[in-house]
Amino acid sequence: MNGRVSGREGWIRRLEQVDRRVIFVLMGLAIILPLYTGWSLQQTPTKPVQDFHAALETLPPGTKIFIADDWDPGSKAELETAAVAVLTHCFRRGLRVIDATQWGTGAIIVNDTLERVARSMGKTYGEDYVYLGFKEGREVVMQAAAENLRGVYPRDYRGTPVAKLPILEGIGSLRDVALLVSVSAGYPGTKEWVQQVQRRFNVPMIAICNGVSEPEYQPYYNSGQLRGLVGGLANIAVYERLIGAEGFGTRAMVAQSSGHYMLAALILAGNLFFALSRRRTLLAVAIAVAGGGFFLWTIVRILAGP
Amino acid sequence: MRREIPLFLTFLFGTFFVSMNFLQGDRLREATGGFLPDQINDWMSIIISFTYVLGVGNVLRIHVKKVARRENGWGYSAATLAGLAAMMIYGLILWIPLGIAFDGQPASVEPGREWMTGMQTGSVFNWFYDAVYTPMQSTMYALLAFFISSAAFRAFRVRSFQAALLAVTALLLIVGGVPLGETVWSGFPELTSWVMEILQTAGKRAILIGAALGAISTGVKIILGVEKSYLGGRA
Repeated sequence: MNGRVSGREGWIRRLEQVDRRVIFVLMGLAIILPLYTGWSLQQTPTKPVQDFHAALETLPPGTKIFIADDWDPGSKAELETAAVAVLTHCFRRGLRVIDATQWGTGAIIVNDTLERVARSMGKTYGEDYVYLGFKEGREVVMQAAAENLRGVYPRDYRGTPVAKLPILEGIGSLRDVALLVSVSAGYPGTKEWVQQVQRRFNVPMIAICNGVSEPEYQPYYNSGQLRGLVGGLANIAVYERLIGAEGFGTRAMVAQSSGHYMLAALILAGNLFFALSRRRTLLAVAIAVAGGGFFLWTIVRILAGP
Repeated sequence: MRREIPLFLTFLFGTFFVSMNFLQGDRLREATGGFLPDQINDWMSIIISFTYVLGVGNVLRIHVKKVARRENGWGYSAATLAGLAAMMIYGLILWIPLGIAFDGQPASVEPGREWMTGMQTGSVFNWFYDAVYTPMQSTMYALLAFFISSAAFRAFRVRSFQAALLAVTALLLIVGGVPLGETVWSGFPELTSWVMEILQTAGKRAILIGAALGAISTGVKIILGVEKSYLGGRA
């Protein structure tokens, strides 16, 4: 009898201390396999996403807006997708885009993304859009641009004096643009733009950011300092659908969903083995019933279809 | 005087930036003939740019020493130095003779020499950025998914009531924050929005306000010269 008990405990111990490479493989499969299913998942837009969409949608064609593209290749999966969606929306609506970045490591990828979207939509550089590039200084540059944009950026990314660019006629500072759109991966980003520019100079502002930054910026949306907020790839996918330009964000939703569900399953499994190994039977039963029931219900719902 | 001058400059510029928060830049610009705040902002940008020079110097000092002494992992240091040299040669040094002074025109480059053009399209610098830096950065970020899943399995344990609250909230957001959540239960979007907008915001606001008060307190101490540890040595 003792042998059987210790054998069972041995199994639980082994499961609790399973090789991390097994977990890596499970997570890898959970992300890769759904990409080949061709399934499509849709989500209802939340109010912050609807407000973000409305802020751009209500601007009249020809309006000049400033996009702060503060991201780099580390957050490419989320924020290149976000930047493409925002630029597509702006260009479709005939808005004129003044773009710049506060991230030195993002200067090239932001330029490439802007050029790719603008060319695909037949936009003219200097008239419909301009890229001012990167300037070191972080909060100082933000504040100075709000005071004197041409002083901070005397030339654009290509080396052309900004005085020769038609799009910048009548734009002396960020106070002259109709909207500030922050595409933000962290510091310096949305929070600093709110603190240095939005609040001090009353520039209307919206933000689109990676998932990990969303909780940080939520208070600024609730206070009205941000007029709209899109956080994380799931909401970026919703925004893509709102503007009718379903791209990478939408395609990635099945993979992201199954990755999230695998993560939830791993948390539940870890706690189940933990409870069993400590002989906390009630907790183990609760986890098994609640977790098992939830995943069973998930399978039923998936098989039942939308 | 070695301490008094830096302390005076800290007081002067600290006071300037605090007061700028309450003053209209346009009026100040008119009153000072453009000296304030534009000149001060330019100085700040120049000083911040010089920190890159210090940074490069520091990287060189640490890694050259490691390579010279053949310390453990010196090969990685050699790779760091090679990368630094390659990016500086193609991004900066070769670019200078091609003519950085545009004379009001975009840079013109002879055909066939685009590879030398600093950060412009077709340059070697851009190739390194697209083919080396971008995939490596994306890979580093993507690895998080695997390490988080391993950590979640091993460390996210319900050992107390507080840990149970954290686990339940995290699970709600993990399964409810993606589109599959809405397929499973239509109430998930509303529930996750409530958690994010009410529960999370309340906690985050408290942290933000606390951090801001701490920053104000530290800032006042630095401006008034009470806190001097940033000067180094025996403050």
